[in-house]
Amino acid sequence: MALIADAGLLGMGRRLGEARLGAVVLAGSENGATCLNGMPVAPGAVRMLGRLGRLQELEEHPLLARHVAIIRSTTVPNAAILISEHYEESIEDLIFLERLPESAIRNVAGQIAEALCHLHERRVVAGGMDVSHVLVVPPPPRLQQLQQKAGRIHIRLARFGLPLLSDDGRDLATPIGVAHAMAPEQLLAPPPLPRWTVPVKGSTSGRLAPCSRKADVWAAGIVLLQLCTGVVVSQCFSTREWLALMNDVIRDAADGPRDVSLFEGLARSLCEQTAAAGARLGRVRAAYGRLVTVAGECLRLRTKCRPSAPELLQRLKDDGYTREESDEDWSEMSVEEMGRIVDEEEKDEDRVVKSMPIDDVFFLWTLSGASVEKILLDRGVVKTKPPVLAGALVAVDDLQLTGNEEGRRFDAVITTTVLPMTNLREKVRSLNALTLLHSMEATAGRLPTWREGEERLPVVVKEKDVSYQAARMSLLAHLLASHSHLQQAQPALLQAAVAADVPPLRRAGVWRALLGVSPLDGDQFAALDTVSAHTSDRQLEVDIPRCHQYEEVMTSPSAHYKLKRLLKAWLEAHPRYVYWQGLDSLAAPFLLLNFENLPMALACMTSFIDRYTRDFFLKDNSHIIQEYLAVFNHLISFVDATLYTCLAEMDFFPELYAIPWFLTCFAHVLPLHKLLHVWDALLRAETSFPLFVGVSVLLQLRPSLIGASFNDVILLFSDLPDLQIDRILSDTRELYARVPRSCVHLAQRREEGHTMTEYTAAQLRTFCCPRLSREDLIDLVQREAVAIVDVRSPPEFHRGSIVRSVNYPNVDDATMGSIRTLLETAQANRHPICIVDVATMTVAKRFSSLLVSNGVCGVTMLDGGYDAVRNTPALIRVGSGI
Amino acid sequence: MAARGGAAARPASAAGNKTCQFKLVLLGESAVGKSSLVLRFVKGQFHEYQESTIGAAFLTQTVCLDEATVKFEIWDTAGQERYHSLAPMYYRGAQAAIVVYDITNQESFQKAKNWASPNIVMALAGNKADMANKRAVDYEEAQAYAEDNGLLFMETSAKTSMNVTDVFMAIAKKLPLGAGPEPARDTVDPSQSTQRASGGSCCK
Ligand SMILES: Nc1nc2c(ncn2[C@@H]2O[C@H](COP(=O)(O)OP(=O)(O)OP(=O)(O)O)[C@@H](O)[C@H]2O)c(=O)[nH]1
Ligand SMILES: [Mg+2]
Repeated sequence: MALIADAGLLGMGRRLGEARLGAVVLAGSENGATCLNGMPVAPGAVRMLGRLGRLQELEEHPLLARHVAIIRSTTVPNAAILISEHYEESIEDLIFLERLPESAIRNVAGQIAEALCHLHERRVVAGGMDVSHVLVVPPPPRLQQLQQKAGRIHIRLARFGLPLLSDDGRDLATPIGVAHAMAPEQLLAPPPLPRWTVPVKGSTSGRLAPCSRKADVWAAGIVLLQLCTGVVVSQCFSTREWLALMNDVIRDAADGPRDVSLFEGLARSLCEQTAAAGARLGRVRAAYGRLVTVAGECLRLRTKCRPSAPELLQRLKDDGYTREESDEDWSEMSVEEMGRIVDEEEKDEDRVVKSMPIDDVFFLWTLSGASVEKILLDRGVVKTKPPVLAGALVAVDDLQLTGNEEGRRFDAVITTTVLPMTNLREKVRSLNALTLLHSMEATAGRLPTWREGEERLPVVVKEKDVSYQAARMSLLAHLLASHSHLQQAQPALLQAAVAADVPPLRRAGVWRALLGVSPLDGDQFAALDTVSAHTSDRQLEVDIPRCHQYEEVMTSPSAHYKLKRLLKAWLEAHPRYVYWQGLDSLAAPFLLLNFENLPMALACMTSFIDRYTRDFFLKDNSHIIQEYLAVFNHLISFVDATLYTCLAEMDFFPELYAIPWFLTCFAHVLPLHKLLHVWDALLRAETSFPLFVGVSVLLQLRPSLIGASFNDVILLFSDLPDLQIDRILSDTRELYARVPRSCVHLAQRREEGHTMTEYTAAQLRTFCCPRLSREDLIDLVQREAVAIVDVRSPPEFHRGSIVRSVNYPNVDDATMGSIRTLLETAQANRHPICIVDVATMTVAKRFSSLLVSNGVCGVTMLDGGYDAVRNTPALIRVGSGI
Repeated sequence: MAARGGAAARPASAAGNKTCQFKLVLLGESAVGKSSLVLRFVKGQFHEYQESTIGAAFLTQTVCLDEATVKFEIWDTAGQERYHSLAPMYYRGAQAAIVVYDITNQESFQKAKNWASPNIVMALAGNKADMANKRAVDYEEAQAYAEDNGLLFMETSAKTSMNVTDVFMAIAKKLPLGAGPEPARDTVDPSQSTQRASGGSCCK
């Protein structure tokens, strides 16, 4: 499972448009360190996984390409693959192909400065920006001519933020960015320049001097230099040559004034490359003198003398730079013109896929059977050589990784591989456009119908079905958007929409909505102290590194850090509660779905615990747990009396196995991918749902339980076999719909609508079947869906009794003579059997025990006995029934 | 609640050699490696990220001695102190216990000293011996403590499997193999030492 971006509430994010998906392999650095408990520190590639979200957060900027996902490589040890929005052409290509007019230079420079400003304001460094990372966004086909005429170029910065992703390069085995883009201070960092050579031989980490904002400005200057001269530095200079040149230029400048710039020195060398370069620079100087001055300022040797990104932007604005948001001005367009545009768009076969959020597109792309790794292998970007020579020798580009040792050789030209999308495009084209558009109707209160039976397929099948997911994602995006606008005006519609399944990419939003969490609920987080020492710290320290660690993201340091903060925040916010082992497992799904939004994770977790595991985390929770387990035991007897009896006979009670189930709502028992599906269903249901899940688990294990020995049974529970979640869910749903709610009444949860006698757990344990409330009985009688056996004495019965009840006072008569048919019919129809006694229920208890041990299912006792219904005229017949 | 523990005499038999069944419980602070020791002993595996135990887990393993085959019913309990209120249910009727501490954690050793029961076979295991460079508990100190209290003692490593089988074997050798079903024994609960159990070893 990849870390899923939070496209939830707003549902959308950037559309694919004309973009492609690009993949970049990032080789992680090695460190053999271990942490507390002797567990190894996560390798570099894993450490990077947890940080993508930070970058995604700040990307809603038109000048930044979206980082879509980061995945851990399975073929190359310790490598991660970054998937980003990509365009086929970069500024480098335009310069090289002489397609970048001089008149466009200022505009491109301005956009770069704006992108840097945006990043720097958010304290993120672009890191190693190069002309090849400044991508050109093509206009939609219909605007191509228009834009070309205007000589405008839209750019988007790619490959930014690697310093943040890699902890300033510590987690990367390669340097960030190419040597050509590095500022003098980065190159001059030890070892000193004269002996400085790339590649850095024998280093285990590609770390050079850290990237900084001023180094970004330098890199922008180098881009400008190339724009002004029309020379692509990396095409004309090898790394070695460039470094030699830099060396010379820096030496020459050393005696210059404080604010000496390397622009002229570098420009001179570039102009020596081709005659055209000199001529171009001359023209640019003449026409755009200030631009050249600005480039000079960016390339000042001393960092302090370079402008900051905002200053750079301001200078370009002063020089006349403005960014056009769009080439089309709809306000000035005639209706005919608009109509023509719409028509043209309709003609585009790929308009559906182009209008999808780019994150959705990547998700669907992986569903369409494609594998990033396979493509990288096929293209030779990643090579696995047979392990004959050097163990598993793996090469990434020209980067050689030989196991873990030192001696990696790299010259970090990391290429972006474009992921082919033909397959997905075809799949989406074949989708009925209506399927995707019906989401509009849904907002008007109608839900679309799916292809016959499609909804009922196993959820894992549906999750792999491109068209199903595409349609569902679009529907839920609309529902969620209207849900948040309408302040939860349509919970029923949303509930119904996710009855069949929840699309993984919409889960975060759906869960928030189902849990009734609004964005405001996150506000409390900031006030909570998640840093100071807490009594549970030691336990958290040892539990978090063991929590759902088969899930890659959960092993990353940022996940550990965040989980700890989340748990501490929850404990802080709930002084009544304490940390019980298992709370960590329960918190994990909320963390994963709200990875960059701990306040939201906390709000969801709080709402969840309040609804499904209320009071389990009290310091003294024994009475709560005992009551819960007693009710669970009653439910087993109701659903499967034979199984109940069989387990009871070997003294195998829920205390022995079910505590982790209910304490963590199965979070400590099921692997995450299964747990999410269970919770998808759970969140639509009330507080008693986990009890039904528990019974469904037992039903699935039933064949191994009946007739087994105590040891075999408990072994089975200690190491649960692979459970079929679909079956568990369908059983659970069936039971949840069928079993009267009062049968799972929990005194602690105080559910509305039922008047039930409150018993202690110890008292409850003396019953072997559930109780039925008066309200449920009324309902069942009205639906004629209950068999009522009155065990009071005949005189009492004849004085007044419940309609259609049968008197069976001689409860010790095990033959069931007169009620045999009644019981059989009730069971065949899956109707509850309700035993009516006097208020003390002594006889009812005895009789229910007899019935249950005879394998009769659906046995219940009327809570409060006959007295409870005496004054309900609708139920009672007086003096009749002889 | 269960009226009796899982160790009620459930005869097991093997051709020729007699088979004895004993209930053994693992005790000790959280994250000292109880589950890891059991996993190593029973399945020969080690998980770097062994998940924490809630309540208890149950496994069985058989070892062969010259005179008998011993089948252990192993109850691996939760280490967090809060769960101790549940523990009696799990260790009721145990005839043997391994109290585990982590040699890199002094506190876990102090906590290990809280578990004591004169009437069952007990071993003290100083686990994570592979991490001797971070040792916080002296071998000698632990050994002296074990001697004074009549406990078997070994330093173990679930990771390298050092001494893991040996601890269980040592316990098996000290168990009363000759005896028939035994009368109830005291439990290992320090606070409720009068609790009775219906379990006993059973040999045939
Ligand atoms: N180096 C090393 N690590 C170990 C050893 N035994 C266990 N560990 C690690 O220590 C951590 C805790 O081990 P567990 O077996 O879960 O500990 P526990 O005592 O069962 O913990 P609770 O279930 O919380 O009571 C795990 O991450 C194990 O991988 C060992 O012998 N050597
Ligand atoms: Mg454990």
